[in-house]
Amino acid sequence: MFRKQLTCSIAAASLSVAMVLSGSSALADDHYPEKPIEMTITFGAGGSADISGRLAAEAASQVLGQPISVVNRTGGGGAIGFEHVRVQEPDGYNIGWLSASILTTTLLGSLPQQWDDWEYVTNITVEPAAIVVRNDSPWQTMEEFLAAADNTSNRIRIGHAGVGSFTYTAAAALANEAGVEPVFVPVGKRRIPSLLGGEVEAISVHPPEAMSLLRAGEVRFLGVLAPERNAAFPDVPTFAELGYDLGFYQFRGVFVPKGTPQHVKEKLDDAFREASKSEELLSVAEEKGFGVFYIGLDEYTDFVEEQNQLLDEAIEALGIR
Amino acid sequence: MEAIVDGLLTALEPQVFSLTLLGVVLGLVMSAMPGLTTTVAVVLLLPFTFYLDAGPSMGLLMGVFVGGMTGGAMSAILVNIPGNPASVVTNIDGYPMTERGAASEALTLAFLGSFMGGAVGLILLVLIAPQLASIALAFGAPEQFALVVLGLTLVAGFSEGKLLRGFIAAGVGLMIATVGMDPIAGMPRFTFGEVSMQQGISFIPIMIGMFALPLAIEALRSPKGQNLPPLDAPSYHPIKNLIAAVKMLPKTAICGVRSAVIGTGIGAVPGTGSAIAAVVAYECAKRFPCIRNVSFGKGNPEGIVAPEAANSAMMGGALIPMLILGIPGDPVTAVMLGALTIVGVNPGPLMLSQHPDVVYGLFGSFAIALGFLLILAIVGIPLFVKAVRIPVRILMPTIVLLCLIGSFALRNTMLDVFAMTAAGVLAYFMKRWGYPILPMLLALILGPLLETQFRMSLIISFGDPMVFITSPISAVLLLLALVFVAVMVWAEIRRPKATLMVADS
Repeated sequence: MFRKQLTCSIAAASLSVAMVLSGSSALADDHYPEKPIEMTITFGAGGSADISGRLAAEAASQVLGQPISVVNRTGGGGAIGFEHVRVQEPDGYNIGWLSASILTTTLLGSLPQQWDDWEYVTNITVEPAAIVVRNDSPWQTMEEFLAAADNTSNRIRIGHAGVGSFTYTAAAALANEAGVEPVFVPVGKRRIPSLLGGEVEAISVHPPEAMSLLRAGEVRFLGVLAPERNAAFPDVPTFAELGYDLGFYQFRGVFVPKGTPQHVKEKLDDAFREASKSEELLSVAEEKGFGVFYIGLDEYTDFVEEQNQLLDEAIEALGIR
Repeated sequence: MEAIVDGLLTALEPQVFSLTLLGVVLGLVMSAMPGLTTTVAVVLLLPFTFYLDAGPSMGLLMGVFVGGMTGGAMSAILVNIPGNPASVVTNIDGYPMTERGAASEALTLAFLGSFMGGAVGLILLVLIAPQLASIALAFGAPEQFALVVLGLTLVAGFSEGKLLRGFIAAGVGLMIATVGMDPIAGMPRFTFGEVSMQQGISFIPIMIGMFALPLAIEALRSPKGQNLPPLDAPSYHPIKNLIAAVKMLPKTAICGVRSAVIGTGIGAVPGTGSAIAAVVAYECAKRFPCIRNVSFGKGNPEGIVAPEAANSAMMGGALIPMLILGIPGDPVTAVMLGALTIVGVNPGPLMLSQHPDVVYGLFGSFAIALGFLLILAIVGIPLFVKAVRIPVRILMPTIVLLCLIGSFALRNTMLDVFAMTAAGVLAYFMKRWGYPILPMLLALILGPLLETQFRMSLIISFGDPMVFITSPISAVLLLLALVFVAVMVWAEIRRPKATLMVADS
C-alpha cells in the first residue's frame, strides 16, 4: 500500500515537472504526427503478435494520416524490443506493440527495469491462452485432465513456448492452483508438432496457432485463460468458470517510452481506439480466436499495474525467479 | 482435377503471374548479393502483402522463395562468397570451376540443380504432402537430436585433412551457439548483462562475415595482386548454353533427384532449414559420387548440383507443415502464413478442402517460378558471369557495405553487425593459421538444435536416456554417426605420418 502511494506521488510529482518542462514544446508540437511513426513489434513476422500489431498499426495510421512502419525486433522473449523502445526519444515517433511479456521479462529479471519504466497508451486485444489436447485423448473436460495430472506415477506432460513465456505461466499457475504436478516441457516453436506427434499430452498455446486444427477436429480446447468466452469457440469454458480465477491475461496494445507528452499519447489513443473497431482487425480476431478488448489511455496504466501485481504473485508462487 | 486447373489459372492471371516473375528476380538479386538474404527480402516485402489478395501475395512470396534459394549460388560460384545460408557449401566446388574459366558452366549447373530440386519438391508436395507431414511428425526431439549428431560428424568431412583443427573450430562454434537465452530454463546466459545479447548469436551474420571479410582484408593487403578468374570464352551464347545444360542433365540427374529427396525430407521437419539440407546433400554426394573424374573441392559438378537441388527442394518440404498443419517451417513460410491470415485464409488440415484455389494457385506459382528460373538461366548467365570482371577495388568495398547493411537488416540489431565484423576478422586469422571455417559454421547452425533437442528428449522421457535408442529412427541415425566417426578416425590413424605433418603445417 505504502509502495503504491509512493509510486503515485512520484508519478504525480514527475508529471507536474514534465508538464512545466514540456509546456512550451507541447504547443509547438501540436501538429503531431508530422512524419512517419515507427512501431516495434517484439515478436517475429507472421506470428499472432505480429498480425494483430500490423493490423492495428495499419488502421491507426489511416486515422493519424501518417504511415506507421512496423519493425520486428525479436529475441529474449520480447526483451530486445522493449529495451529498444525504452531508450528511444519520447516524442511519439517511436512506439511499441506490447504483450504481457513486458511484465514477465521484467519480473523474471531478463530486463532490469520495472513495469513503469514505460508508458501505456491503448490496449487492443486480450488473447486467450488455451489448454489443448489431441482429439483422441481420453480427457473430455478440464476436470478429467487435471485429475489425470494428479497421478504421479503416469505423469502428464504439457508443452509450452518456454519458461517465462505467457503460455507457460498460464498453464503452470493453473496446475499450481489445482494442486497437481504435470511435467512442463519447453517445446518452443514445436508446440503443435510435439502435441500431434505424441511427445506431450497437452500444450498451452494462444488459439491462433491451433484454430485450424480445432476446426478440423484434430484437437480439443479444454479451457482458456481469458476474461470471457470467445466467440470463435463458445463452448470452451474460461479458467475462472472452472474455478481457477487467475486474473492475469495475455494482453496486447501500444506503449511508448517514458516521458512521451500527454497530447501525443491522446492522439495515439484516439487513433488506436478507431483501429480497435476496424473491420479487418475484427474479422481476423474472429477467425483466429483472439478477443479485441479496448482499454483507453485513462485506465490502461492501472490495468497494467494490476496485471503486474497478479503476475508477480503467480511467478512467486511458481518459484521460477 | 477442376481445382487444380482453377489454381493454375489463378497463377496465370496477369497480376499473379507478373508478381511471381518480379518475386523471382527480387529473390535472385537479393540473395545473390553477399550479405543480403532471402529472409531479408521476404521481411521487406511483408507490408506489401497486406494490400494483396491471397493469389498475388502467394505468387510474390513464392517467387522470392524460388529466386532466393538459387541466387545465393551466384555469389558463391562467382566470387567465392555464399550469398545465402542455403548456399553455404556451394562455393566449395563452384568457385574452383570459376577459377578454371568455367563460370558459366557452374552457374548453369546451379540453376539446373535448383530447377531439379524445386521440381522434385513440388511433385512430392502435390502427391504425398499428407504422408510426408505425418512422417515429419514422427521426427520428435530424440530423432532431431540424432539427426543433428549425424550432421555434426560432417565436421570431419569439411576439415580438409585437418581433423583436430576442424574439431577445435567446431567446439568454438558450439560454445558461441550457447550465448543468449537458455532454451530450457528461459534465462539469459553468457550475455554479460547486455540485453541485446539475449537474442543470441545468429549464424547468418557470422556466415556472412566469415566468407566475405577475409577476402576483403586480403584485397586490402595486396591491392595489386588481383587474381581475377579468367572469363569464359566470349563466344558463349544462350543457345549454346541451353545445349550445354541439356547435355549436363543426364550426368547430374541421379545426384539432383537424390539431393532433392533429402532436401524435401529435411524441409518438412519444422525447425531445420535450408543450410542443413544443403550440407547433408553435399556430404551425401561426396560419399556416393556418380562423377568420379573430378574430385570434390576441385570443381566437381555434383558439388554444385547437390546443395542447390537440396535447398530448392527444401521449399517443397517447408510448405508441407505450413499448408497441412499450419506450422511455419522456416522464416519464409512464417511470412506466408501471416500473409494468408491477413486475407482470411487459415492454413491447416482444412485448407485443401476450404481454399483449394489458394493451395493450387500457390503450386501454380511455384511451377511458374521454376520455369522462369530456367529461362533466366539460359538468357541471364552470360550476363551474370561478367560480375567476376568487376575490379576488386569496386567489388570489395561494395561487398563490405552490403554485408554491413545485410547483417543489420536481418534482425534490426547492431549485435549482428558486430558479430559479422568480429567473425570476419576471426575467419581471416583462422584461414592464415590453417583452421577450416565450415566446421565452425556447421556447429553454429546445429548447436542450438543439438542442445535443445537433447535436453527436451530427456524431459519428455522423464530423464531416461534410453529414449535415444528405443526410437528406431534415432537409433539408426546415431549408429550411422558412430560408423562415420569410426571410419574417419581409422583413416586418420592409418594416414602416413609425413602427410599428416605436411597437412598440418
